[in-house]
Amino acid sequence: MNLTEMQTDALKEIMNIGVSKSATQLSTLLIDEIRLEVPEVNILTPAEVNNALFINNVLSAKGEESIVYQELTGMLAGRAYLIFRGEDSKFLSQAVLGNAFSHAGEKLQFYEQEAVMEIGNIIISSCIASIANTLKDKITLSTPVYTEDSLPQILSKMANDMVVLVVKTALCASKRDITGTLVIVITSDMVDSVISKLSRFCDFKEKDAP
Amino acid sequence: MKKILVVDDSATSRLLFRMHFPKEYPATIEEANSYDSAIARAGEIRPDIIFLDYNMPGKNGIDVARTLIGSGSSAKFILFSANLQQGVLDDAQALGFTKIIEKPITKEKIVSALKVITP
Repeated sequence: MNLTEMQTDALKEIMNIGVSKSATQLSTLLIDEIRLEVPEVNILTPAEVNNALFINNVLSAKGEESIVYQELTGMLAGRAYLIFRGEDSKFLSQAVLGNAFSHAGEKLQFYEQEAVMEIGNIIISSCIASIANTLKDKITLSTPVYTEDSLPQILSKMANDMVVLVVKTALCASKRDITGTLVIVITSDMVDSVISKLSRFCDFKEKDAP
Repeated sequence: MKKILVVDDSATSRLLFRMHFPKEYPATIEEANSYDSAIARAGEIRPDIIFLDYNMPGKNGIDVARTLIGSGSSAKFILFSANLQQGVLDDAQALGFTKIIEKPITKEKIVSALKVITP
């Protein structure tokens, strides 16, 4: 299944609006400028997703990533993953908690993991909310889940003949070497409805143009 | 002295709230981490202001407000969430939330919410 050039462009634009919002939120948390990669949009199989992320150095061979994900239901059904390298997630939680370490005391380790989960929640939720508002629809988000399982392992549980829509972008902090990669995986049965939504969005954009 | 209840399932979020809360504002801060604990704690302390996260396991922050309003609470409700979809905003406004704050929480955002309640 392929998206037309117009649909791909519309999807990139919608995702760009979403991740721009996420970048703003991350910038507030880190008090740092966040550079944003233009979203890549592809329809892939789970195996191809893994390959694509390895090729792009999002996933390391050692599998030392921290992943926060949220289930999506409604207009988009699937999952949104935010992936940090192991060390990045530690720096990130310390950067965000900052002075709160004195409040955390002995619970520092607990807060490190908890903080990554809350940061993931903010970044994913703001992106998804922005997408839902742009498409004038509703997407329900689950509470966030933190895992150190590898993404290939997670995706391997999906049926191999499934088609997934993958939107990948990276949010990079300028002062610190922290990069988070957002991957939205939508199950094959949702691709048609997303295309239909995109077609309406494209149609609206064209009608709206002067 | 205002009694404030912060309801969020994230311990980090509650910690950040305490960290950013303006020290000069006369208030006591209590916490709850779920719908059930929020209803129980609100019944005990009768808060003046309740800061509610939206996305929590089971019932959400708007559900908490709906239940408390139904049971006669006179608290002012403030929603704080990163999930500001139009439907969420509409529900909060329909219930009479005093203010909606977008996460991440900052001192400025808390101050702006408190100003609406006690100008």
